[in-house]
Amino acid sequence: MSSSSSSKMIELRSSDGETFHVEETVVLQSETIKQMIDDDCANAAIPLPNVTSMTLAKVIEYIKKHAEKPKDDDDKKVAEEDLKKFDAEFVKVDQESMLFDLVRAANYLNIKSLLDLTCQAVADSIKDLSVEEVRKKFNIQNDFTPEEEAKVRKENAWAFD
Amino acid sequence: MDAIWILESYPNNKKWWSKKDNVLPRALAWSNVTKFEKNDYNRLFGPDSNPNLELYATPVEKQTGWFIAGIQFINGLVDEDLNVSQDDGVGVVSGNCVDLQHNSVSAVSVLSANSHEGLNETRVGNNDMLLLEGGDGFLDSEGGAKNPESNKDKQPTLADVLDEVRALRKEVALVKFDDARIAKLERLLNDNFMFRNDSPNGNHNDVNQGLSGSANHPMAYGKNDSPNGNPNGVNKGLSCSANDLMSTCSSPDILDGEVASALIGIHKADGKNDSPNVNHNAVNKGLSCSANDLMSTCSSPDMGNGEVIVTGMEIHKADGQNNIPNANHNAVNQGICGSANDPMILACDGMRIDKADGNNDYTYSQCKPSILDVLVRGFDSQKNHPGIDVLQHDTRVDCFVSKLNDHPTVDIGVKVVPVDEFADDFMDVLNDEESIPNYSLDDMKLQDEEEKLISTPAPVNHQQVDELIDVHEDKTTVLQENVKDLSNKSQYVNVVKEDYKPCLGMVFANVKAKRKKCGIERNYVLRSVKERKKRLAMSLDSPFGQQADTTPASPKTISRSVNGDFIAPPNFLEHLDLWIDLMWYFREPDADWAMVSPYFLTCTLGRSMIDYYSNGVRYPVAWRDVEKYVAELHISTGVVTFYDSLGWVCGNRRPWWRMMKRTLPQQLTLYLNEHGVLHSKGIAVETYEIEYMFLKVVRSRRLWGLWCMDYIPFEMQIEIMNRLPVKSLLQFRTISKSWKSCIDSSAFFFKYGVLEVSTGHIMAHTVQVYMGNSQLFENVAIQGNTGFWSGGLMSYLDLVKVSRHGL
Repeated sequence: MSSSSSSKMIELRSSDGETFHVEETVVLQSETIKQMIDDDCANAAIPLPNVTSMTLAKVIEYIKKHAEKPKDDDDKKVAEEDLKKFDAEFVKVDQESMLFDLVRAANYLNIKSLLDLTCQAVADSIKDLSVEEVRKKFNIQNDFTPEEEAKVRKENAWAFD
Repeated sequence: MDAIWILESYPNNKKWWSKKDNVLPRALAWSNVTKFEKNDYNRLFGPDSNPNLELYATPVEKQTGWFIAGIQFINGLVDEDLNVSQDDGVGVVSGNCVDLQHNSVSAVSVLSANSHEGLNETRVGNNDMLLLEGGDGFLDSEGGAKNPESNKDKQPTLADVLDEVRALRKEVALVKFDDARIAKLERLLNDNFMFRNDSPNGNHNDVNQGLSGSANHPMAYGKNDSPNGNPNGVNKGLSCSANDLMSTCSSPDILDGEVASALIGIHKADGKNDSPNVNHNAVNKGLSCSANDLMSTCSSPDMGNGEVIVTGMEIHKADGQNNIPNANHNAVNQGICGSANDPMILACDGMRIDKADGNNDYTYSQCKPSILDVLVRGFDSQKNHPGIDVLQHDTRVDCFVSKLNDHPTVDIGVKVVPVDEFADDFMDVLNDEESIPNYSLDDMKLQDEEEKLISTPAPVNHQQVDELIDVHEDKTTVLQENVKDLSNKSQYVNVVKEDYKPCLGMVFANVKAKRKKCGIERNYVLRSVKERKKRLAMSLDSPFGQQADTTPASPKTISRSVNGDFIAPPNFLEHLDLWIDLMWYFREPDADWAMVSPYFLTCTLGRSMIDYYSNGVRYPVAWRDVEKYVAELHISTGVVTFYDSLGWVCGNRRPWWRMMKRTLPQQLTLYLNEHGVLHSKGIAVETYEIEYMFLKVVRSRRLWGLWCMDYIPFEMQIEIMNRLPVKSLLQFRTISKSWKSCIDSSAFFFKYGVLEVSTGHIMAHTVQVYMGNSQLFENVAIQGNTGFWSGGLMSYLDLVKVSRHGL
């Protein structure tokens, strides 16, 4: 935060028209935006047509937190603990759709750590689900014939016990 | 989910949903959505598609609660309809169902009984249309045939018809047949009922009794194929004009004492409509079949065992060689006439068969005596076996004979019995109880007459058809107002077919359009095409307005039928409500939402969208268009949020869109209140307001609209796969082919393996996994040798080796 006063502010505009002002140092965590800035496309507000304001606020909250630099080693450990806690809380969203939104936003903005975090969260949420539940969750069509499905299932029979 | 989903779509994608312009898109379907690309359009909805697929629920789906509830709901409407209609005695537009995907929409049916003054009350007593009670009723009521002029006075009232219908329903319920049989009978009933209502006949001194079907699935239609066939005539019995129907006619269910007594007339209205003249001023009794496939039917033992012989069959093959324009003119055609190619089977059953080989041989004089003998024997058997239910009704025979007596134009002798000795025999049979004073036995006279008739009939009858239709339409227009409410209800008569699918198209079948489509088959086809185009064009302009205009069936009807005490606001006829209503009724029991669209409606089960099933064939929906306007109503907050993938919602100034925005709040509120949704959530209706919120979701390459909100693209799914534990991953190979191929792919496995190694997550069973799947392991090994992932992979492979040795 110490350098925030001198940092250049970047304006981001969500798909529904809201604008967010974020420090450049923070927003550079997004490879996508970094590329835009490098390409000198960031003079005006950067439109993020794939991200809604709600999701974008969440993302900005995340990257702000992760932009905080610990001052010394002691602080570093504390900060790491703190960050882990924050991450754990961060993915505890009420609605699953929000988590999906975050996955998409992280993908679009190309924020690696956020993508890891959210994808892991989704993976954790589905790992104990049944196949049918996962299909429903991801809106995946079962394109196996029953015979094919039985065959695949048989290959992994041991995994289903 | 505490929301109602509102699904709006492009107006012009209506043409994809519905193959008929006058039918609201049927959209009760269930399942998850599949991807649907534009290049699939032709196959699924376009010229390459088969629009005639019927949608049936799968057995599993039939077991679901909401499906059963839907069936019961519709059945309840049927009962209501009959009760209400009966009180009225006014003509009721008994629109039969429009087959879901059939272009050949069934005819409209206007019962015009009230168009004749002097309804004959005496008919009520013995006018048994009840199939189960045998055919005596048919003949009892044949007085009209004796004297066409008196027919005006013999018109049954609607109440009579409804009495009969209801009684039949009771009969059906009483008889402990199996389900299929009951369903069949119900179908027959429906047709019967509708047949009565087919106005071209009804308006013209005609008593039309029995079943008339003219479509490929005739039972669903009941469209009368013979508007001209029956002027001044009595067409009784089962009149079918479809190819597919024949098996029905031949089925034991129909014949063993139920329909057998009902005279069956089957006309194939295949453009070469044979019926215009067939029944003109004639009493057409018996089974009249004109289809090629019919013969096996007629030859079935059920028909031969003395039942049908009595009633007599008439089988005309209308195969372009129209053989019978005059056959029955002013005649009573009794007995069995067959014109098919393999008639001998029929002959064995005592049927009279004429081959329609271009040479009109439709006089009995050309029959071989032996065949006639068989016919006579058939009638003899009637006498000898009075126990046969059809035959044992004396009234039937009385009626039959007396009709012959009273009707001077009925020229039995000439037509039926040109051969003298046969005539004698035949007359003996007929004269058992009564003598027939007037009939001509003059062969020459008859032939002259016949020639005249042959030369003239077609044009004359066409004219007649037109006239009939015109008259019919006029009357319908008049009636329309009177019976508008009723008509809406009576449309449900046919909603539930044998296969019990919730045919929304039937529920909302457009009465107006159907009425116009009434007519003989030829006209009907032409009209329907024209109508379709016209209406489609209209509907594209202003779908809301048109739809409301052309869909008289209102949600109010439904509500009133069910609740009984709902007061309909005047503008509540918007089709949007229909969807809301229906979605509410057909929703999953625990669902708190519905998804609606004026053009396409879908209920979401869980969060899954829907597509069509048709006999196991998946019939997906063009989501690409649908999703452009998707909205969600949160009931508790009253906020309607539009997910608009193109950003068109907010500033949309199209009239239909404005209309929807204007009417939606009121309709939704009314609906929610009416069904107790608001009450159940503790919301006061007075303060409840609907607001709009617009959420712009810019299109993504893969997913649109709502899907952008809810689902994550496959690339992301792969990312998530990467983070799944092995056991889950292997399980999830069965999710879909793409998942399986992805999980099985070496690239994924590398990445996955590296991830696993690098994060130290390799467990014992991880190794087993790939041991168990040698192919996977080989892939790993080969690619591993390339050193692509040298570091992580080698350590991983080491683990594999260890584990292998361990085994």
